[in-house]
Amino acid sequence: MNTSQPDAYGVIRQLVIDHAGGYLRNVVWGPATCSYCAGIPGNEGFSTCYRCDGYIARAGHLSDRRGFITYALAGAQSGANMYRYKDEVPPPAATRMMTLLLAATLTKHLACAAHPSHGPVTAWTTVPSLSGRSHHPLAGLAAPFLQTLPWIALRAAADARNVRELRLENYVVTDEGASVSGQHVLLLDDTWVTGSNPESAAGALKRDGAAAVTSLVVARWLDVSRGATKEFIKAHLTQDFDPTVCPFTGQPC
Amino acid sequence: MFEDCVSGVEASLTMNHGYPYGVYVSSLDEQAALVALLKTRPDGLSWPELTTRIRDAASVQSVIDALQPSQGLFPDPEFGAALEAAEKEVVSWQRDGLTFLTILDGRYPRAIRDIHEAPPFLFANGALLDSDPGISIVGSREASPAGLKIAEAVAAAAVDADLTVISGLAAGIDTVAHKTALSLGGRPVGVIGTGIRKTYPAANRDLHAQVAARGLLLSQFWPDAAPQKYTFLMRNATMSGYGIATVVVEAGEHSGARAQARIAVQHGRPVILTDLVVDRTEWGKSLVGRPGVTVASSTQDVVEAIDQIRSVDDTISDALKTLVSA
Repeated sequence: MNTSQPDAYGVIRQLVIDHAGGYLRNVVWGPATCSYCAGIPGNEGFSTCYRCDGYIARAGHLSDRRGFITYALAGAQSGANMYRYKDEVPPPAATRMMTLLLAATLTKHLACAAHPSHGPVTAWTTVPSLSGRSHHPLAGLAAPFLQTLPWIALRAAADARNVRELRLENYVVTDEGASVSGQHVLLLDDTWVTGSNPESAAGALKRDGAAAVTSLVVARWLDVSRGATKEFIKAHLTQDFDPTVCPFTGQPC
Repeated sequence: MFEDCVSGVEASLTMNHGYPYGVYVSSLDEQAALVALLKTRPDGLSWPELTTRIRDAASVQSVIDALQPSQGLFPDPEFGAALEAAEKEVVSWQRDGLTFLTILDGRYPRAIRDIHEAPPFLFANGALLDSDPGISIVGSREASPAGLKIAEAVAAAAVDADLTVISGLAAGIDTVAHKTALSLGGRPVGVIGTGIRKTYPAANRDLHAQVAARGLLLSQFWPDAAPQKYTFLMRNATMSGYGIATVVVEAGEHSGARAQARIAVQHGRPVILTDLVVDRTEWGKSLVGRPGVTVASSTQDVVEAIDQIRSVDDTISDALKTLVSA
């Protein structure tokens, strides 16, 4: 029923605005942010932050492209929902926010993940948890909107260590899912704090045969205890959330 | 020291109010541990930070163990003393008939868990319900006759729609909302800005008692806490969390209702402003067009907005089904 799709999307878009637009903020891609992770660069005049500089210097571009749906802040509804949707009994509003955001984004912006030489994404997976949390609902929430793509089983390695540094050996593709070989993988994660885990996972996918990896992260975490963050929020995060703004470009689609 | 009374407490709590058996009830030990943790604040952690850790761990004791205020070679004498005092306190609360809910308790209102300011504990007086859809009706303490009439009409419409009437038990709009709910046989829930043992304003003593008897009183403060400017703000956040929407009936430029409207938008909770509020305040005008904000010019407008809000889960699931099958 292709004719009904615009309507359903329109309803979802409005629900995102009504229920989360007041506390979510679109990610800014531009001179004010790191061109790699949309975080706040430590030094003025640099296009990437020091952490991303470090990753790139050590390992090159592990993911080919990154998109972020929203910023999330500790001590605000955005941050609380990113913690709480993973609870064993999650508060209803947190699950609702995640569901609506994934529905709106994967309907509208999946095509934006196309790679200049590898084309549209051809398979998907999520960054597995290293903290031993058995319950990780992101894949289940996203799956209904990615039904046409094969799923790749990316797992935490038996000797995985959550070190907040690049460690590709933390992740391994198993044969429970589709073959990763030659795929352009959409790699989903919930939160980018330092980026070490999603970048390591992207590197592991390529090591195991992926042709390209596009990361889509729900929330770019900002550290509100930094003065620079407060100034950034005041200057740049003044508009309510708009689901038509592209997580990859920061422009309306 | 609590083993002897805990099992009895659990049995009496779980039998009340139609809650199913198996709802988690924190032990007096766990309650005391929470009180001691909040009063000592190891490592200078704030209440919200401690609450996040407790929710992550789904346990008070494991947060204490991780912070180790009383572990190791040299037990922390400050924490030990706080724990001892807290054990006496929670027992005295229980003797006084106060219901103390930690955020881990199954009877802690689910809707309040939604919000990022969810308090680490609540005192409750009255009937806690597993599901309690309601609307916050808030506004000025010095309301006009027109404002009071609207409050009455909106509260009556809420009762008519089987919705709980949530308010702050202040003078003016709050009082009329609750009195209307009571007179029509509706369920009032009062979220107060003082400790559960206090009444503010004193003139509302009877109303407090009636709300507790026929509905529920909730307080997020220590039982004898006095009213302060910041306690009312914190209370507004909790009230916004409890309801499915906030209706601001009439308010001035610096009313507490203004704060609740702003907080509700930040929670993603719908806000309904009367045209009275929009016409007469700058903040009301500036909220028009913000996410989830509706302007109502009649009781019927409020009723329609609330119908839409109540059916949101159905709307979402219908839209998702269509998206996925497209």
